[in-house]
Amino acid sequence: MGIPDLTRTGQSGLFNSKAAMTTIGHNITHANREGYSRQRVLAQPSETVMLAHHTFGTGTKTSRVERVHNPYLQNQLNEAYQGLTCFEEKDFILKQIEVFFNELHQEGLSQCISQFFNEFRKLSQQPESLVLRNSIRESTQVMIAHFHRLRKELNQFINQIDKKIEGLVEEANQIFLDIMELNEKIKNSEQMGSVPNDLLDQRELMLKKLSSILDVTVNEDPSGNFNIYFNGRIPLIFEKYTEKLFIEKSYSESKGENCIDLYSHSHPQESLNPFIQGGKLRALFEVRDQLSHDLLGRLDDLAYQFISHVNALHIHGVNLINTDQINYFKPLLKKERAAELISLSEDVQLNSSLIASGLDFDAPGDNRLAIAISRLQSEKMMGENYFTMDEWYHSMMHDVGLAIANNEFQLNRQKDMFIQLNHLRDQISGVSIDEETTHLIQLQHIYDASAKLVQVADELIKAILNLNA
Amino acid sequence: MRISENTYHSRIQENIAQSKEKLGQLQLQLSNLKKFNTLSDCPSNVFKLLELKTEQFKGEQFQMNAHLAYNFLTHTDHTLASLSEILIQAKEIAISQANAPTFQLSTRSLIVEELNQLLNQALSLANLRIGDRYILGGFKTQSPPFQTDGTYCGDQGLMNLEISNGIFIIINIPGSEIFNVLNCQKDTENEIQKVNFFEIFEILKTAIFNGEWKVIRDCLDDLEILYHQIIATRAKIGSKLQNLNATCQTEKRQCLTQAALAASLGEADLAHVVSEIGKEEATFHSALASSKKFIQPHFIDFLK
Repeated sequence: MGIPDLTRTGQSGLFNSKAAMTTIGHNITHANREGYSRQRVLAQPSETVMLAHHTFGTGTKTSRVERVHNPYLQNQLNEAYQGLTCFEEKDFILKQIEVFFNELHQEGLSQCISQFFNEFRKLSQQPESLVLRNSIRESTQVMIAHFHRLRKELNQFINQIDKKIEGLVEEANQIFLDIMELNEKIKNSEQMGSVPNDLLDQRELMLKKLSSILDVTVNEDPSGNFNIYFNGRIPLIFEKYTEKLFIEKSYSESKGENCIDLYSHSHPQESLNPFIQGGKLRALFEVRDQLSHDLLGRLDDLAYQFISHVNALHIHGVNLINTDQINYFKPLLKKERAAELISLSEDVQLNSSLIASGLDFDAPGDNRLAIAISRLQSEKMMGENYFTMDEWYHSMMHDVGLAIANNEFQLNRQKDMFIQLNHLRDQISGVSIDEETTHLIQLQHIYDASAKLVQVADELIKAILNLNA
Repeated sequence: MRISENTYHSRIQENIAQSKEKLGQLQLQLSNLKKFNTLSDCPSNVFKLLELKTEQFKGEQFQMNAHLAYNFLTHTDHTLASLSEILIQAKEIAISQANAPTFQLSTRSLIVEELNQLLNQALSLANLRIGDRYILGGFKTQSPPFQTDGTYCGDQGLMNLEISNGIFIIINIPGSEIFNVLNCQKDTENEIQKVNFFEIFEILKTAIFNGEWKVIRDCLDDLEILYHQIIATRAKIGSKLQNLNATCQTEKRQCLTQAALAASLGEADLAHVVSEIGKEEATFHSALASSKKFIQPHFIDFLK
């Protein structure tokens, strides 16, 4: 055991504490970065030396820089994130629908429908009046405009969702490629024997981003392949293979709507829509294909029943110029797109005196038809004769409100869960500056002491060299 | 438990965001005093509110209908009152002629002239209008229901108006019923005698002109019958008006109850909101204060 060994021991201390201090610096600079896992230097004793039946340590050796990380928790976090982004996205888009239907403090379709019937009640007071007929026509046009507006807004809304879906699918495809690239880099550097901590963090972030779009699960096989599956069974990234997703739009003439389906390149015949269980895509598809679709159908139904019931009465009515067989609305053959196509009949459009009020000819004071039409308001003619028109439309508004309220409830629960899990992750992997600073001081002392060791060794050598002097 | 930097900051953010969200909601409630501002605030209550709003809207129209019905019925009643006056006058003339007939032709012509005037008055009452509508012509409201000779040109149309949900009231009486211009045969079986108003006047006029007091006496009976008929019709209108008033009162009460219900459902309780804001403000301040304590000290500060 020579004095140079002593220098080497000191040196190992210097190296190791410097490496640890570098890592601490790295931790501190990333203290607030999302998804960063703190790193720590693992040291182990250097090889021992046997001398005269005694074993001597020769200092320390940096074995590797390790990431403090809990893969099980990370998986849970990703799953929670899929749910959270799904509910968040749903909340965001449902609130847009809510704006279309919210008429709590302003005028909307519901009020216009009431107004329409009230105008006929006014006409029943004074069936001879042309002025009241003009006013009926005007209020009907306002009501029609509201039908058109709602249908248009819902349609535009669906188109926006479609665009969003397209964007997200593209983003997902890009993330597949990015993760594939990271996979290769990580594998390379692992083969070279190092641990690419930051790349691993980066991959985890990518995975989180992907989780916000789709529901994905991860499976690392024993040979170190990082495989990603969709819906737990459809591989998106498998060994060297990367899936590509695409969407296909089709137009259904009968519904007057665009349909949109998600496919993968490997299974281009099977639509993946029903398998999406989480992430923003699920929220978008759900709202698009269930609620919006349902609302459109009910709105069309309302418009169609409105047209056919009013027309059925009006055609038997006698108007100011003593004729009958006039349609009030332009008759429609089917209920699809009725809310878009609803309009006054040309006769009424051009001449409001063709609005009928009575049932007998030569009886200008006859108000029976006006009463009959106004009575439609309390008639249960919607949804297999269970609802009045008011109730029907109100129940649409109610359903929108309920969908949001339910989603909000789930969102809050999911948010709490995600926050809790995130805190757990931060407990394990997060950086604490206090902790790092304490370590830093500790390491500074070790560094000082190791330097002292070298100095002592130096002095020892000097003392030996000076023996002859 | 290990507390990392991210734990600190995310907690601070969550607390402040939560507090601010609640404050924002309360502030909105305070600014417009409405408990609900979106459909999702409480879907079932919002649904009820919308229903009430529609009902209120309808109720307002029903009240307007009731006003019109009142107008129509009182006008008809006034007309009938004037008609009964005319009948009394005609009766007085008939009585005077039946008891002490005038033998001079010129005087008799004068009396006939007086009767003519009364007949004209009755005719103008029969053709009474509200605005541009003849109210005694049934559905034929745009042309005078009675011609000068008393021929009825109207029909038997009964105008209904909805004065409360599902409750209708007939607001007109066709002139033919008042003046009995149609089936005026004496219905002896049911002891209901119907006498044509205009015919009686014509008979009376000729009888006075010719001095036939026997006929005049017969006419007196008929005039009496007519008078009673009009009184009976007035009684009918009176009961209708009563009915109308009662329904109107109920409708008004219902409107009030609905308004009260809507208010209790949809309007924010000022005292409640203000106290909630106070509470939330305190939470917000303590969140900020505790954040200040969180952020400040680091071990590194003590090393300086």
